[in-house]
Amino acid sequence: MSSEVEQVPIVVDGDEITDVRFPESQQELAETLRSLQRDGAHALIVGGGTRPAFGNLGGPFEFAISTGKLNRILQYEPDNMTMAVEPGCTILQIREALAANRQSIALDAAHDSRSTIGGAYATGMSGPRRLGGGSLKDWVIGVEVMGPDGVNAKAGGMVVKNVTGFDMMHLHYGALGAFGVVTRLNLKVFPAPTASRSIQLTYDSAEDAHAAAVALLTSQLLPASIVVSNVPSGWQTSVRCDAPAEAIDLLVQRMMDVAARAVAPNATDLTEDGNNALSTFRAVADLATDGAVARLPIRASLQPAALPRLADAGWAVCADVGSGLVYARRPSIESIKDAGIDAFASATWLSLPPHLKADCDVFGPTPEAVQPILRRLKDSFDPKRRLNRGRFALGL
Amino acid sequence: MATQDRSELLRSLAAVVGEAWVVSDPAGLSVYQYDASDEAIAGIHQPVAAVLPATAEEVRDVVRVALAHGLPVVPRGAGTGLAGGAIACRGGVMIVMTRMTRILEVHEVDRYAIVEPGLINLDLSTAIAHRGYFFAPDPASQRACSIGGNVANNSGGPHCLKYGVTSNHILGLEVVLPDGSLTWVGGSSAETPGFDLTGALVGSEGTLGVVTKAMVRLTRTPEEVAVLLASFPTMESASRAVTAIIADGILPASLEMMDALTITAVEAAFHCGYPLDAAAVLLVELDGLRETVAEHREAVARLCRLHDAQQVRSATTKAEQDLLWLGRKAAFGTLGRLAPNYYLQDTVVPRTKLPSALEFVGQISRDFDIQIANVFHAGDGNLHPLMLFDRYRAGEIQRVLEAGDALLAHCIDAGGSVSGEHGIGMEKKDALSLVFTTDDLAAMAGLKRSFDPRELFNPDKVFPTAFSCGGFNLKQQALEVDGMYVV
Ligand SMILES: Cc1cc2nc3c(=O)[nH]c(=O)nc-3n(C[C@H](O)[C@H](O)[C@H](O)COP(=O)(O)OP(=O)(O)OC[C@H]3O[C@@H](n4cnc5c(N)ncnc54)[C@H](O)[C@@H]3O)c2cc1C
Ligand SMILES: Cc1cc2nc3c(=O)[nH]c(=O)nc-3n(C[C@H](O)[C@H](O)[C@H](O)COP(=O)(O)OP(=O)(O)OC[C@H]3O[C@@H](n4cnc5c(N)ncnc54)[C@H](O)[C@@H]3O)c2cc1C
Repeated sequence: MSSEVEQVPIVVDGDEITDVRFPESQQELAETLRSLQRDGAHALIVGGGTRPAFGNLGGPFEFAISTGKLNRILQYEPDNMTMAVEPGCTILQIREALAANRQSIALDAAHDSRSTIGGAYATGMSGPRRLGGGSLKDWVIGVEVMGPDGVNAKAGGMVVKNVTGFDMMHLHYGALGAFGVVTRLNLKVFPAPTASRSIQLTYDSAEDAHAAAVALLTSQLLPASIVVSNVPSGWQTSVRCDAPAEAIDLLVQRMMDVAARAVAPNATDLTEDGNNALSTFRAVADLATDGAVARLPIRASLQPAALPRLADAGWAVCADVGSGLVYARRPSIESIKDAGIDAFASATWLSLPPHLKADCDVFGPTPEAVQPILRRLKDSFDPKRRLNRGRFALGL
Repeated sequence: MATQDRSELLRSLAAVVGEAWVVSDPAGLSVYQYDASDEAIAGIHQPVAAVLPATAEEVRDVVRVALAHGLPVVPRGAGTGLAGGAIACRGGVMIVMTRMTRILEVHEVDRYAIVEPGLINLDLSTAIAHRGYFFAPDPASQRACSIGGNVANNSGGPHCLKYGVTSNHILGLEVVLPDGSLTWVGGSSAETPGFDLTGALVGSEGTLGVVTKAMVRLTRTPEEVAVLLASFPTMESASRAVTAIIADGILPASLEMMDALTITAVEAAFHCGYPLDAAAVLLVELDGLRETVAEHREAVARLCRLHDAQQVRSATTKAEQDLLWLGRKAAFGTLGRLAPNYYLQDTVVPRTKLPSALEFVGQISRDFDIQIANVFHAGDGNLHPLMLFDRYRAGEIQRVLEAGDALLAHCIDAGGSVSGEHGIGMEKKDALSLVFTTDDLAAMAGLKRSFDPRELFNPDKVFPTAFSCGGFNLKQQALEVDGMYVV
């Protein structure tokens, strides 16, 4: 087992958890969970531990349960384009297994040798490649979740189309482990693009960079991702192109033409590695333990005004244009109210100093009518608040 | 229901929507006893009233009236469902969406539209085609079915192989919840922070809420579309070609198969140009960038020939493409030429299991002496065997249902599932026990009860008859009291 798996202790919002359990089988996990019930204890669930601080202030936790050793690929059927994995499989592990059959999943997790698929699913976040490839929630065709009673419940299956029973795959997606420990994910996978390139176009203003991005978004050229961000030299539009190897040169050229026809860039940079388009995104969206990272649902059509305003207020910004999301990051923040921008009213705070978390729900406002449903869900799946207590929306 | 209560109910409903939009006479209500499902289900149950509201607020108020009378609520779109989902099996108030058909907003740059639930699926794509966008989920019934019905059933369709099922295309929903509140869940961005109740509502068959508006994702029309028709000497060779195409890393927009019986019926009706001497035809649509489509068209033709295709033809004009598709989309209807009735199964197997599943269909056809036509989404492994019969012949319905059960059991054994796209409704609820344990169902019941503690929204659907959502609650109470329970 790699040493990375056994990174202890775990620190969440300033609290240190030294007792970390590493069940190696479903039975061991069930026993651990039952002991939780028996002892009246509370546990934090961890995957690779790359984003343990995401969520509301929770706890305290007597111990943590890591899925690090539940990391087997259970089933892989390339011809059916399906794969079943345990939650502790890292994104890299899955990517490498798929690559052997020229298949892939379009997950952009920043620390892919540590980020687990269970963690990616529980946080419910995808990177900008969701534009071309959809997000993880679109590829999960089955799920198994173990409740605090140690009982596994499954939904979905191993077929790519299935409407048998309720869609629990969506319920647990982004639920941050509030309703149980994800113990198995069945994925639908895709043929890998045979070639990928990144184009980075630099502009003076956010409006121009955004106009170029929208020209590409509304074209028929199918960019895999489009990101607009502020960089030292101004504003940058980063585009990832995926295509058959025979077609990639022509496609890149056509994309640059479309963008330049909208607004000619000051500079163009082209790289062989499609992933370069993500580096600026990661720099902004990545976790800052001492600062603040917000995800703002700002539609593409409203972004040209929002981006410079955010930048003027001191935020590093990055717009995932195709998804209508803007990520904003600041190394330090005194108070949420002083954040300076109306848009923060609807923010999800991906990272926030603990003393500020105490003042807000990091998931943003939850519609009133939905609140009793969320409470009943938690009551139904984890009535004694044994798992990840307090960390989900509404402090559930 | 007591006469006085009934009159009061009808008065209250009329006060919300106007008298003209409350149907309560037996003749008028008989229309709402049916959907497109099997005769064994449809036709038996009648709602107390069917109400046709015009706005979300009216839907909310109708729900409130029903709740005040302790009556079940059954949402209904166009009634094309094949699993008896829109049948009022416990009476109550049926809420029919056919007047709520407006497209309220279209945002090209943000790539979404807000529509009312009664809007016919195809009408949305038609209305936005000139802007260069379409709504990707395309059930074969898309000329008739509603978007609300698509959402409730998480419907599929030929293009779902590449574009995904309905849930991939719903960003947010306005719903009336079982407590009578009207609210939005989800929103215009791709990620909802923290919880995804939109995702849980899609596919819940009207048991968790009534959809009053949908925020749907719009997909850019592809630059290039190619449609190929390949004919094969056996179903097996066609199935192997399907696997070979996918294994080659090609993801067609759709990959549909039809067997000889279907080809005969379709050709007689529409003259689409399907070869009459073939045992199977594959309809392959490729779309995307010019360069990619050109690459893949060559590869698909080569792979089909490698798997014994007798003929591979590429439609060159849009009219030719449409004609090839017409045959597929209208196929179910043309089978009326061969028999007065058909019973349609909707099951799904891992794609590589298609050859053996189809062989089993042949076996069932012989064993039960039933003609079975196959027209289905081969790329997804989603089978639609249509068993042809005459319901006025003694014992026919029973024989067909037994054959259907045998098929379902086989597909589940092969790693498949109960329904690929048509839903569970009343028809298949007992089959859920074939794939799910009591613990699995208890978790689903937890979702149901969190939304609908009184179990008044489309009751007696989805969950097996013998399974009680209430039973799950007792288990939870034990958990509350003791801190743990013994299973
Ligand atoms: C600030 C931020 C930025 C991000 N940026 C990107 C990005 O650029 N691209 C991208 O693709 N993704 C991004 N993500 C999502 C990211 O991929 C996931 O957060 C990451 O994969 C988590 O993996 P992990 O194993 O380290 O999880 P951890 O950090 O260990 O856990 C994360 C959360 O998931 C819960 N959890 C973990 N495993 C399970 C399980 N088996 N069952 C139930 N709950 C579980 C934990 O309790 C915890 O709440 C981002 C997330 C955050 C918070
Ligand atoms: C010839 C034919 C071909 C078909 N082909 C396909 C196909 O290729 N793919 C496929 O997936 N299906 C197919 N179907 C099945 C059917 O058309 C779909 O399930 C469709 O989505 C049902 O829509 P509807 O408006 O007719 O819904 P209805 O039949 O009226 O209702 C279906 C379910 O949705 C619920 N519902 C309806 N509206 C709402 C609402 N506003 N809020 C909450 N719940 C609601 C109902 O309660 C019921 O449970 C086909 C049917 C026929 C007859």
